[in-house]
Amino acid sequence: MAAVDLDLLQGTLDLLILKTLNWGPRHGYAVASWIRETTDQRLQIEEGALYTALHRMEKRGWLESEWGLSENNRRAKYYQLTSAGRKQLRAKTAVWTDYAAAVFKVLQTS
Amino acid sequence: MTRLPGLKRILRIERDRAGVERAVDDELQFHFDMTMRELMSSGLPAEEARAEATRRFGDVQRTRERLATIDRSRLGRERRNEWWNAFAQDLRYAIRGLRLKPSFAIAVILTLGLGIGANATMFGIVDRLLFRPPTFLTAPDRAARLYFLRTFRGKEDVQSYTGYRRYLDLKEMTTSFDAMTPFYSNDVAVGSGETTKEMKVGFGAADLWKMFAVRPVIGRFFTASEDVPPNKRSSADAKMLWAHSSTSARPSTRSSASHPRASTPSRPIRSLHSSQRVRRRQPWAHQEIPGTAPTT
Repeated sequence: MAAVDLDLLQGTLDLLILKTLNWGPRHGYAVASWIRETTDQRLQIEEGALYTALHRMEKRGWLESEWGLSENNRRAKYYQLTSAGRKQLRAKTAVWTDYAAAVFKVLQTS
Repeated sequence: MTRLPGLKRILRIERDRAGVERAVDDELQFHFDMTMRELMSSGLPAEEARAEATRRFGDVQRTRERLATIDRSRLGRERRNEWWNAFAQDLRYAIRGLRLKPSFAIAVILTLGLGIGANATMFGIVDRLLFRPPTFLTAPDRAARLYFLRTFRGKEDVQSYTGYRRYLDLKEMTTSFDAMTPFYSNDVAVGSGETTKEMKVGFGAADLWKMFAVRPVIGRFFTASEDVPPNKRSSADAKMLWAHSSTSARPSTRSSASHPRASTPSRPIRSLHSSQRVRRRQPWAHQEIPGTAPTT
C-alpha cells in the first residue's frame, strides 16, 4: 500500500500523537517510532511536523514536557498528556470516528 | 522507561532565549542519534543512515526555528502566569495573616491609610503652592516678591523682610511696577476691654487688591487714599490693617457709638506701630490695638 500523505488530513497528526501519549509519557522519537510501527509504516510522517505538533500542543496546554533519562541513559524530553489533552483526545476521537464512518458509508454505496 | 519526576525543576535550562534554542537542539539531536542508531542496527552504513534520518525529518533548520518560536511564546505565557500565581498566593497569604491578627491588621491599615493620606495632603499642598499659580492672582508671570541683598563685612545676606520706609521709597521712586504692596500677618489683639479678641490680621497696602481678581463678599476694599494716615507725621510708622472677619462684620458694640462708619460691615482699620503715640481722639484710629500702643 502506498504511503499516505498526511498533510491531506488536517488535525490527524495531533490525534495520533494524543493517542500515542495516552499510553504514558514518551519522548518525540518514541512517538514517531510508535506511530510508524503501529501503522505498519503506512503513514509517512515527516518528523519535523511531528515535533512542531508536539511543541504546539504543549503550548496549548494539551501536553506537558519534562526532561528525563532515556532507555540508553541519555537526556530526553518526555511528553505526557494533561487533563486538557485527554479531553482533546476524547473529542477528536469522536469527531474522527464519525467522519471516517460517514466517508466509509459513502464509499460503500455501489 | 526512566522518568525522574521534578527533574524539570533542577534542569531549568530552557528559561531564557538561548536556553530555549539549546533545549530544542538537544531534543532534535537526541532524535537524530536514536534514528541513526536504529537504522545502523538494522545494517545500514553510517552515511546512508544519516541520509535516511535527514529525509525522514524534513527541513531541520526550519523546524528548529519554528520550535524555538513556539517555545518562547509558551515560556512567556508561563512566566506571566507564574508571576500572577505568585502574586495571588502572596495576596492570599497576606489576607490570611491579617485575618488571624485583626489588631495587627488594623494597625497596618491605619498606618498605610495615614501614610497615604499624609502623602496625598502633602502633594496637594505642594501642587497648590509650587506647581500652580496662586488662585485669583491676575498676573502670576509678573508677580514677584522682592528681596534685599545686603553685603555686610564681605558676606552677602539675603533679607526677606524689609522696613516700611524702604517700601515707601520703592513705591515713590520706582516706575517698574504696576502695583506694589508690603505684606505681613500676625496674631494681634483686636478690640478693647472685654471684647478684645486675638485675631489673625494681615497687613497690606491698597495695591494688594489690584493684584488679585477678587471682590469682597461684604463691604469694600480700602483704597489708596486710605493707605496713608491723614496725619502725615505718622505715615512712616503706620500700617494698614484690613479686618474682614466675622467679628468686625457683627454689629459692633465697641465702636458703633463712637464712630459712624462702624456700621459698615467690613472696613479698613488702622493699627499703630508700637512706637506711635496713640490718642483716642485721633480720627483715623478706628480701632485701637490694646497692648501695641503704650498708654499715655
